[in-house]
Amino acid sequence: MNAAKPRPQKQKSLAKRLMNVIKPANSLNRSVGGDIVLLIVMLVFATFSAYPMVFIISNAFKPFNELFIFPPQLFVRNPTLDNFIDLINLMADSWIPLTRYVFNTLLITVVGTVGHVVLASMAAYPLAKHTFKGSEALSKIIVYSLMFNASVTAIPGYVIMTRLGLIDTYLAIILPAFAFSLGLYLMKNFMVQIPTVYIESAYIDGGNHFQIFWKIVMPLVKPAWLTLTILSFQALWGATGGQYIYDESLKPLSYALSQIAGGGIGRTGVVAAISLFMMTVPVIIFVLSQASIIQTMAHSGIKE
Amino acid sequence: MWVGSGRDQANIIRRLIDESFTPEKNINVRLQLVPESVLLPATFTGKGPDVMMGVGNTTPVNYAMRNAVHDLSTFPDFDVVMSQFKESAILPYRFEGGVYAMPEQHIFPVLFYREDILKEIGVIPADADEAFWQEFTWDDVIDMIPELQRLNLEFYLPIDIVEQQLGGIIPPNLIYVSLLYQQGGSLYTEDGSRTLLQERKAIDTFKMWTDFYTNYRFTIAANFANRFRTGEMPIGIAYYTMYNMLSVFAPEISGQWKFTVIPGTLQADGSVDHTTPATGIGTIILNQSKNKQAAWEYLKWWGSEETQVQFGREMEGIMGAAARYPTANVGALEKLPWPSRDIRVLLEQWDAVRGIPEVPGSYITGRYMDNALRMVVNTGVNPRETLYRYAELINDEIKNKRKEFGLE
Amino acid sequence: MQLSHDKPSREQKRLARKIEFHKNKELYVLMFPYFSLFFVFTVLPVAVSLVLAFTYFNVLEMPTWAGWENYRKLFFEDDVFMVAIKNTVLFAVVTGPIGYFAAFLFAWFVNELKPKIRAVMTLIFYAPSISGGAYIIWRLLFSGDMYGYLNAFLINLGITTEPIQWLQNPTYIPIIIILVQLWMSLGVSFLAFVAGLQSVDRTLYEAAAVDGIKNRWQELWFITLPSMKPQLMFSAVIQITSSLAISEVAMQVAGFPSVENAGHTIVTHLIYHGSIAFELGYASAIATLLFFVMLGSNLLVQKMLRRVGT
Repeated sequence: MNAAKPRPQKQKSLAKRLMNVIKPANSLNRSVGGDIVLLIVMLVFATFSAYPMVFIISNAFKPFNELFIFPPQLFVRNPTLDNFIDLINLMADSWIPLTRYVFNTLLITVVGTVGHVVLASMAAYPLAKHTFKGSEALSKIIVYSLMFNASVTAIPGYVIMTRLGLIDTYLAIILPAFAFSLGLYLMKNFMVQIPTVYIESAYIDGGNHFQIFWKIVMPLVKPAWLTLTILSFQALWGATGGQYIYDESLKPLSYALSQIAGGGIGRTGVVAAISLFMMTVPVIIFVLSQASIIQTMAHSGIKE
Repeated sequence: MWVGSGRDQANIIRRLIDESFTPEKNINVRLQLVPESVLLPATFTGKGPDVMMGVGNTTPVNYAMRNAVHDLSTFPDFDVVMSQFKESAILPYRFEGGVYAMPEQHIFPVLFYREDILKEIGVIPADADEAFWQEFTWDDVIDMIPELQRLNLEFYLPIDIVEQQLGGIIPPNLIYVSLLYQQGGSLYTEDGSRTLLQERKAIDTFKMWTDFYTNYRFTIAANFANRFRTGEMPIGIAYYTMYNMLSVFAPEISGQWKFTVIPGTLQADGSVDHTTPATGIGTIILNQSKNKQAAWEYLKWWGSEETQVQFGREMEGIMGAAARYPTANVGALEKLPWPSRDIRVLLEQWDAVRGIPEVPGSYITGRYMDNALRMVVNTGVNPRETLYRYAELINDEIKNKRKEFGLE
Repeated sequence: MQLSHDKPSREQKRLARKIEFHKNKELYVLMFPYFSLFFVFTVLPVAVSLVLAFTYFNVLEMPTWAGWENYRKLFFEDDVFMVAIKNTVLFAVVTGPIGYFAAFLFAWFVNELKPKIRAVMTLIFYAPSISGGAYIIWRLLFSGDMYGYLNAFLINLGITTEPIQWLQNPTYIPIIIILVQLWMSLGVSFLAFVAGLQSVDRTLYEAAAVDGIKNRWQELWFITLPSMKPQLMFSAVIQITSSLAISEVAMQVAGFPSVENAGHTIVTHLIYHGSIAFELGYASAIATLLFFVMLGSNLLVQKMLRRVGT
C-alpha cells in the first residue's frame, strides 16, 4: 500500500484531523463514524479503568477524617504525608527488620523469575518444535489440568506441600513458581514461529538440543522471555505465600505489609499508603518495559 | 501459637509474652501471625498451632462438631476463669455440654445519638438523661419517626451490605434478634435441634421489624458513620465499636453526641427490657496440641484482667481511640480509658446482652433471614408467610447437619 | 544417519529407534525439571481431588469413602446446584462469546492506532488487573445507598424517589453480573489478541491487496484470522474456562452468599461447600463435574475454530 501523496493544504474535517493524530495516515480506510463510536467507547473504558488507580493514589494521601467519607471522594482535599510517615515508623519499629522482608521478597522474586523463565523455556522448546512420543499427550495434560478449579485443589496442594516438608520455607513459593503455566504458553507460542530450518540446519551441523536451545532459539525469542520476566516478576512481587509461610522472618514484603490491615480502622491510612506502594512498583516496571519490549519486537524480526 | 488478627496485635502480644507470661510460668511460646483461613488445612496435616487466638464466633462449635478443638470445661479451674466473662459471651462456644473457646472480645450494640440535633429539634426533652433512655421503648421510636422525617432526618437500623457479605456467613440481623429477645423469644430450641422462627413471637417480631422498612420507609442501606457526622441520621443503633470510628473520623462533633442503651420493650411488670445480642472473638485450644495444660495456662493468662488491660492500653497507645479494645473481660473493660459515664452505660447494656447460640447448620439462619427480609422489602410480599417458609428451610438444613454428625 | 534406499532391515529399524530416542533424550532432559514440578504442584492435586470426589471429607477428620453418594446428591437432591447451573449457563452463554468478540474487536482497533497511543491504551486496559480495586467502582455505582452513583443520579433526575437495592434484588443481580463480567473479561484475551495482531506479517496484507482482496472483512477472514489461529485457540480456551468458572465477579458484586442465590454459580457453590460447609468431598465432585463440562466445550469450540479462514 503506498503512502498517501503529500496534498496541498485543504480543509480536512475535524474528525479526519483527530483521526490522523491517533492513527497513522496510511492505515486502512474505514468509516470515520464507526471509528468515532469506537473511540468514545474506549474513552469510557479508559475512565473506568483509571478510576480505581486514581482512588488508590488519592487515598494514600487522605487524612483520617477523609478516609471514611461515603461516597468516597475521588480527590483528596487536605493531602498529608502522615500515612507514609506512620508506615515507615511502623516498619522501622518492627521486631524483624524491614530489610529482611525486602530481602525475602527479592530472593523469591529473583530466584522464582529466573527459574521460571529458564525452566519454562526449556520445556517449551521441545513442545514447540518437535513431535515425539508423548508430546501431544503432554500438551493436553497441561491445558486440562489448569481448568480444574483451584480452590478445591488448594487443600490437596497443601497436603502435598506438607508431605514434601516445604511448609514454612522459601521453596514453598519458589518451586510452584517455576511451574507457572504462563511461561510455558508464552514461550511455546513464540517458539512455534521460529522457522524450523534453523533448527534442522544446526542439528545437521552436529549440534545437540541443548546448544540449539541456548544459542539459537533463546536469542530469537528475546521479546518473549523479556515479557515473561516482567510478568513473572509482577506475579511474584505480589505473592504472599500466606498459605504456607508462618515464620515471620521468612515472610515477603507483600505479606508483611498486608498484615498491617489487621490492626483495625486505626490503620486504614497506612493500608492506603501500602496499596499505593504495592501498585506502583509493577506499574513502573510495566511502563518502562513496554517501551523496551516494543523496541525489541521491532528490531528482532525473524527474517527468512 | 497463632494469632489471626494483625501486625500491631502480634507485636504487642509478643512483647507481653516475653515480659510477663514466660518469666512467670516458665513456658516458651512461639507466636506466629497467621490468618484464620490457614487453620483448617494446617490442623488437618498436623502443622497447626496449639492455640489459635482471634477466631470468629462460628469457628469453635464448627470445629468442636468435628472433634478438632478441646473442651475447656474439662480443666479443673474452668469455672473460676470463666467467671471473668459474661455468660452471654460464653454461650456461642457451648456445644453438647462442652465449652470450646474462651472469650477474647465481646461486642454488642448501643444507641448513638446526636444530642445537639435531637434536643434542638425537640424530639427529646432538653433535660433528657440516662433515666430518659432507660424508659425509651420501640414505641417511642415509632412516635419519633414523623417528626424526624418531616425534617428529612432518619433513624438508623443496621442491615448488612454487600461488602460485608464476602465471608460466606451472614449473622442473624441484630435488630431482629434484639426485638425477638425483648419479647422473650429465642432463635433455637433449648437443645439446638431446630429454630423457633415459626413461633408466634418470632413471626410477629419479623412483621414489626420489616414494617420499619416497608411502612415507615426506613433506609435500607446507609453508611451510618457518614450520616451521623453530617446529621442526616442523628440517631441510630450500631455496635459500640462505632465509637472508635467516630473518634477518628468525626472529631469535629466530638462533644455533641453520646451513646446509650438501645430502645427497649415494656414488660408486664412495668420494667423496660433492653436485651440485645452480641458478637465476639475467641481463643481456642486445638485438639491435636500436645501441650494442653500449658496451652490452658496461656489462655488463663491471656484472658486475665491484667493482660487484657495492658493489651488494650498498648493498642490505644499506638493508634489512639480508633483502637479502643472491646475486651470480653468485664473487669478489664472498666479499666480502659472510657469516661465514667460511658462505662456506666456500657456495663448497663452489657448486663442486658444475651448470646446467640451456635448450632450445627446455624450458618444458614442469618442467610435465609436476610433472603426473607429482601423478599419482603423488594417485592412487598406478606412477611409472616415469608418467614414461615424460610424457617422451614432453615429447619431442614439443621436437621441435615445434625444427621451428618449423628445428633439426630 | 545413513538412509538406505531399500526397505529398512530390522537392524536398521532398531538403530533408527535408538537414534530417535537418543535424539529425543535431550528433549526429555530439557523438559524434565519443569514438568516434574508442574506434575507435583498442579497435576497431582487435581488427581487427588478427583479421588476426593468419592469421599466425605470435612478437612478436620480423615476422609471416609462415600462412593457415588456425592454425585447422587448433586444430581438428584441439590436444588441450589440447579440454580447455580442455571445462572452459570446464563452468564457463560452471554458473556463468553460476546466477551471473546469484544476483546478481539478492541484489539483490532487498538492495533490500528499509532504506537504511542497503543501503549497508553494497553496500559489502561491492563491497569485493573494491577490495581485490583475495580469492584469498588461497580459497588459504588450500584450501591443501595441513596448516595450510590446510580441511585443518586436517578433520584436527582426525579426518576425515582427511593434508592433501589440493586445488588440485593434478585431481579437486577444477574444483569449487573453480566455487565461487570463483560467488562472485566477484556483483560487477558485482549492482550493476547493485541500481541497476535502485531505479529501478523505485514507482507501478507500487501500480497492480498495485489491478489484482489478489496474490503477489510475479506482481509480479516482470509488473512488476519488464519494467521492468528494459535492466539484464537488460546483465547478461546481461556474464555471458556473463565466463563464457566465465573465466581469472582459474582461474589464481589452480589455478595457471598447472594440474595436468593441470584448470583450463585457453579464455582461459588463449590466454594461454599468446600470452605463454609466443610464438605470438601462434595466440592471436589462439583469441581470434577465442571472440569468435564469445560473439557467438552473446549473440544467443541476447537472444532469450530479449525474452520476459520476456509
